[in-house]
Amino acid sequence: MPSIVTANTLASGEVVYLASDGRWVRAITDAAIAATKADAAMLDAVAARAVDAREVTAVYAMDVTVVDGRPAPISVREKIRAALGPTV
Amino acid sequence: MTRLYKAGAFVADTWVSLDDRTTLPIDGRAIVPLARWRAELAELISAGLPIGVAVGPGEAVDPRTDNIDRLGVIAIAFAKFTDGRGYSQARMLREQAGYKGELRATGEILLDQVPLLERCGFDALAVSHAPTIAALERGHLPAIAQVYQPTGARPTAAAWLSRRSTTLVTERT
Amino acid sequence: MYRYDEFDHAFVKARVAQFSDQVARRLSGELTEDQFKPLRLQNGLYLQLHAYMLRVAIPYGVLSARQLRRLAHIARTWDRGFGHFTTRQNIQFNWTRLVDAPAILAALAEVEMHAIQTSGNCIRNVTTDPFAGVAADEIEDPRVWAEVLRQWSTIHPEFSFLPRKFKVALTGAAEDRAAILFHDIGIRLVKGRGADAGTTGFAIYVGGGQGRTPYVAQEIKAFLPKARLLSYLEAIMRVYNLHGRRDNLYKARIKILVNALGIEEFRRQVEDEWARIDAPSIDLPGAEHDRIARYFAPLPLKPRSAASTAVSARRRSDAAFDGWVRNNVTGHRVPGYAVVTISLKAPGMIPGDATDAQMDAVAGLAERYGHDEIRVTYTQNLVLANVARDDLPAVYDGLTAAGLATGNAELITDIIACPGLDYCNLANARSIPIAQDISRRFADPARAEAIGPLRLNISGCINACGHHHAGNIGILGVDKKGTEHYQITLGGSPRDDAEVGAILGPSFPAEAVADAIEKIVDVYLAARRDKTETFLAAYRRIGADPFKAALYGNDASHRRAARELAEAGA
Repeated sequence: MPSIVTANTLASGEVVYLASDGRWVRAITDAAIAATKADAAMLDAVAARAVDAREVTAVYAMDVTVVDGRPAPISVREKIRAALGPTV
Repeated sequence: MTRLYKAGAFVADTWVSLDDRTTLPIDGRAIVPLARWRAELAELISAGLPIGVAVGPGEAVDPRTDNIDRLGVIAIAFAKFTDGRGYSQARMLREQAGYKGELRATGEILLDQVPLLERCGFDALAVSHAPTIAALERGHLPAIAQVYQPTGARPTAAAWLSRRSTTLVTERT
Repeated sequence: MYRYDEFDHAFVKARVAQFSDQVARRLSGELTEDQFKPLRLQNGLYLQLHAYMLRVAIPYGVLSARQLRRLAHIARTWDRGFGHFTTRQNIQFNWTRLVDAPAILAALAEVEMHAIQTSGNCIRNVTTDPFAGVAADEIEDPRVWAEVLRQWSTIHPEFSFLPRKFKVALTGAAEDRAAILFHDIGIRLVKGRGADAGTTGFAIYVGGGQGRTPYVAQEIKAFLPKARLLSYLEAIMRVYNLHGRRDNLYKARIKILVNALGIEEFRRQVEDEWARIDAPSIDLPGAEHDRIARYFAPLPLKPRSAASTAVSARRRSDAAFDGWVRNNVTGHRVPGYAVVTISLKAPGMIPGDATDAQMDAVAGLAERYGHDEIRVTYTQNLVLANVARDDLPAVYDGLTAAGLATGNAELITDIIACPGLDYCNLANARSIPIAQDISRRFADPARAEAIGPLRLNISGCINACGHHHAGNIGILGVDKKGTEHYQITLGGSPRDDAEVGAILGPSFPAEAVADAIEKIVDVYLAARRDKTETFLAAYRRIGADPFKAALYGNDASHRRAARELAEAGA
């Protein structure tokens, strides 16, 4: 299953996603998609360096579906996170 | 690398930690596992050498049967700094059993636990966390001088007055 | 209320400095997240779904107007203009930043507030009766002892790394309004009997709690002389600290230990330890008790005529005011005064939330009409405990202007709900939209009043921060194959008749929950003897079957229900 990497910024706690250029972005549609285990491992390594550099915390990989080439969240929780705010 | 912190400074550790089988050094000053102390109690006492015990997580010294007055060191291990059992054990040893030897904390000790460990009666800390060692060397102790709770081995009402004092009190007899 | 002396001020200032240092060490990399997290939690800072959440302590739910204004200021300055009052009488800010935490804590310290130990495996906010000091049925004011326990538990060096969080509640009245039997330690002020007659002491209960395995607390000591409270609690805490499970997060609370050992054996271990403890050095000296007690001396209120002509007249002409007085205003010990509940449960709004403007409005009313004091209830409402009855119309008008005049205290729309999956990292499902749905359905004040007193609690996950186990109607959000579903329980009670609710049957999808609640209410209304038989009383009389039949219909449903429950390990 394709996956992306997400985290929260250390200083402000904002939800962010790892883009292919190593930047952390707010829009889930800009996240880098890992199609294979090797891709996922590479993203993990980039994320781990960002943790050490104190940019982000609470890093994890999450499953996505791909819609028009862009990642979309699957679970209710990730849909709410990707919306960057509560539903109420 | 582990350094021993006593009375506000890092000092040389004059004790050696042994496992279950290694023969004691000639002058003693060995810390043996609690199980070994219990198994070889008679011989170790009759040898008359300075000796200490290492208490693992989940273990506990029994003041009634473990002859703690013979122990120069009781070393209590904190496998994870979040395991708080050692704090209770320390207070019981100091305040109830009247233990007067060195009470040493080992394992995962971080800077923020140092004041709490000392308030519970630990007077020696075997620190391995490099940033903690560096902070202690700098004299950077994140203690809050005011303490709300009386702890320590002096069992008198005076402890309550010191509760309102602005100096950190680690009371040991 | 308690006022910090030099000692307390110095303490909280030092704590702010200490946490600021810890934040700096985290941002510099000296501390990893694993090492920082327990420290962050002990200062009330969670990393939630969207942001850091700061939980500020409101010790035993008591606030001055000045403090409430400062909370409003924090909401405005460092958050998104609102705060959420919790089921432990605290307040949460949902949108704080780690880098701002030291400044927020400094702003709190200036008004004698903090976020110490509102999270972490330590002793949490000690909670009590929101009507303390003013209720007619009060034996003795529990806030004195709540303050004593607050000090005793603050950075207690022995109990800062417990197996799990630890919650204590006290009550000092005939009726328990603090849900003490669902706490790790519950304390009730009681009159002594026999040899203890003429004195008051404490009945002590242990091992209550909600969450994955709910338990009602059991009595460990029927009568403890007040002077011995701290040494006895240290004995309980020490037994728990030493023997509570540390191998399994979900079995680490004291309720598990008490039930594993049995209350007799647990009591024996505590009494053994208590006998060994050097009580004189730990128990509170009388002089210290007296010093603290002076802060809680009853207000010098001049009795006034019990009835107010202004109120009576307004009630006759204003139906909404009449309903508000009937539901939200209760009697005060002193004739001519009243205790006002400010509902934070306007239908369709988020339960327990208040905007900065609303907080300022309540602070203003407290200053003018409430002797400067506000309480927070564990049902997520606010209380003005000392209002002259003649001032009720002015208070009501002030609340109306602020959108805080809903007269639904203790009714079905006075819903207790956790933030749920909209905010919380731990949640399985959202709880706020469910609360909004239900409160809109029953928004008609006449309908809500006709139903009568009914506790409805919603939790977004099994951690039960919405206290759903103790709800007359409880709703638990679960994840059923990736969609949000809701399990309904009936028959819980948080009071002296404490009971854990029973699951009714299979869970419902979100859109079906409000309908289900309506069916449950309809069954009750049809079955009740008369208007005085509450929902809970009727349920206890008729049992769950009529409700199951209404919700699930025929036998096949029941079999499926039984299977589902078995699969869920209920």
